[in-house]
Amino acid sequence: MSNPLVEVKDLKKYFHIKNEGATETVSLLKAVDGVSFDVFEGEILGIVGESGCGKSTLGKTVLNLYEPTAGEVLYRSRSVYAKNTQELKEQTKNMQMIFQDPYSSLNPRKKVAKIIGQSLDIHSIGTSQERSERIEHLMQEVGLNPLFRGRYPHQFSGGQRQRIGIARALALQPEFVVCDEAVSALDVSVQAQILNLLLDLQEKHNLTYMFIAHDLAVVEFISTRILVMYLGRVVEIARKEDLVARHVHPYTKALFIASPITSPDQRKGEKHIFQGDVPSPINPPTGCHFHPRCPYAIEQCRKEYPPMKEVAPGHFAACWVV
Amino acid sequence: METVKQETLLEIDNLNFSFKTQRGLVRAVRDLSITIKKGETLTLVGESGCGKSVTAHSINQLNPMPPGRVDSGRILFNGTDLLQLKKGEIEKMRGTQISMIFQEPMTALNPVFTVGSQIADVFMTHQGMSKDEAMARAVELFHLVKIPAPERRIHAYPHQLSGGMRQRAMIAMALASPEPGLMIADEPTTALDVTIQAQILDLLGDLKQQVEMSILLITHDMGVVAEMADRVVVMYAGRKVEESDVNSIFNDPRHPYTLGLLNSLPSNPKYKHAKRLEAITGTVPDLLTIGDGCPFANRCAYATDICRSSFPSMSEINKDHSVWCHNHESVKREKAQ
Repeated sequence: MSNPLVEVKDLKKYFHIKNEGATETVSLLKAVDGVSFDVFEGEILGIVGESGCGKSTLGKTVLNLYEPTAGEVLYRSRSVYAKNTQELKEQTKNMQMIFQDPYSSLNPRKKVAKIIGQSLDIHSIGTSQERSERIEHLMQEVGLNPLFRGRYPHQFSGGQRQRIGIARALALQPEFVVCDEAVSALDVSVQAQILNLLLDLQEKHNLTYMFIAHDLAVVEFISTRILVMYLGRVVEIARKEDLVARHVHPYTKALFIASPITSPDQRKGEKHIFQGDVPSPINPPTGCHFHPRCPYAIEQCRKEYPPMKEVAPGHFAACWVV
Repeated sequence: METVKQETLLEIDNLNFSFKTQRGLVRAVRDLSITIKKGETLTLVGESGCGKSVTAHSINQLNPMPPGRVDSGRILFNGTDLLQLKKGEIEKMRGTQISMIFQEPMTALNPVFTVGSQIADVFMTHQGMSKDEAMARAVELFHLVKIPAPERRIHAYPHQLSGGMRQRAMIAMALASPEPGLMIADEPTTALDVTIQAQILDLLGDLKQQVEMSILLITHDMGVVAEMADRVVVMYAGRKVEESDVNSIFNDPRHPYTLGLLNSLPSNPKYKHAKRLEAITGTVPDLLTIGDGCPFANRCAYATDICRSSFPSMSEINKDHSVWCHNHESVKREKAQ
């Protein structure tokens, strides 16, 4: 495998939550709690997990949109944090983000050309003529008619808006793009178009994606490697083929079992559905966070969080019983 | 499937429903006919704006009217035309024979009353029970929908329950009718996490074995259809485009849109080693400017001139499977190759 483009080392992001009440107390929400992994050049690393597992926070912290509580993220072996403004500005050229909601992530008062071209303005790239050409080129590339450059976001459909968001993210020719639930707000037929577009662009520009989604089927389709999160921690990480063939962690198993079937022929009399709710990340269970829902839990699981074990080459899982 | 009797419970007959908007008339549902048999689960599937929720809400008249308007059609429930009922009569129907569960249980439950008292209300209003009796029945229903510690949980407010538990409470409330004839479930699992969705679908499946009811399930998710449906109606831009038993929809789709919808799913087994999805091009047409042709024509690889000018009549593939497409024979031929 090639060199790591991004190295995430024991990254933590805690939020302080104020509890309103007679006595004001503060509890700690450990959204990302000691996460380590590498992202290699040219790969699509899928991050999957349910709501509240910290996957979006992870994406934003890696991009330095959130300041980390502890830990380090290296981009091409250099820290993404602790930089002066000029260095930060340089960094954003390489690292960009595509957001989930194509409605709230575009400024409704700005025309499309302005939205896509804003980063070119900020970095003073090219002459205004060159910028304008670049914007038209970007619009074409993501499948938007450049004639619509003077329109406002509300004049576009959800899928088209997501294309605007993608064009904006690519304007500075980044190497690394975090796609945060980039297709989950879209209808299935549009979702398929956008997934294809993301793959086309990745190939063409040799991009590296960190693709965050709650939908296992989407992650399974697009990723080359998959990382599974549960309550702020990585529970399993492996190459896609390895993870699909053999999911080791009980939570990964639960995700695969719960994943909707694709044909009525697959209906089974008895499914082994995992019971119980996702606990609150404010007060996660002791030991392994998954133990209250886990049918395989042993005494040790209640006491101590399991370390990452390499179960096969390049395939890691954090579980006491594997 | 054995529980499906041939008796018809609900028949929507040629429904046309429109909304008057500032920009003009939006024909949300056009010439729609659907029947639901007793004990059957029918799913209405389609993408946002296809009219599936408007159809469901016109049964128990939850569409805002105005601006909404029934232009024509009948909705027969056990032989009674619901569209002719007075306001009080339809309200009674909602609490007794037609129940509904919504996508977002947080907005569907009243935040200032405990979930138990909201369920007890149904018993007290529609069956004249005393408060104690009604609360006791609420506990029974919480057992039925597998809420742990029901005696304690009935005293909880909606915000004290998790999303999955709230949806269970909603389902319990829907079951509070004395004779749950029809349960309308509008995207009941869309707002839930996958592991919780699996639990709720499992629960609905179990309940159907225990309680005799028909379910009208509205969803955009073909996975939910595969899991739950007996029969499927596929809608596109206000029209029914294909109707069939669940197996034929997945194994022998005949409408280009149904085919496209199935091909859009990344979980489709055909994409095991594929690099791209076979996506439908283009976007859903604007219902304001849509003509009388097939609404899918502008995105359809099979479209011919006639598709743009006239909506096709029904073609029967077999007694359980019908399609509304001028070129369904070409779809079949292409699939065979």
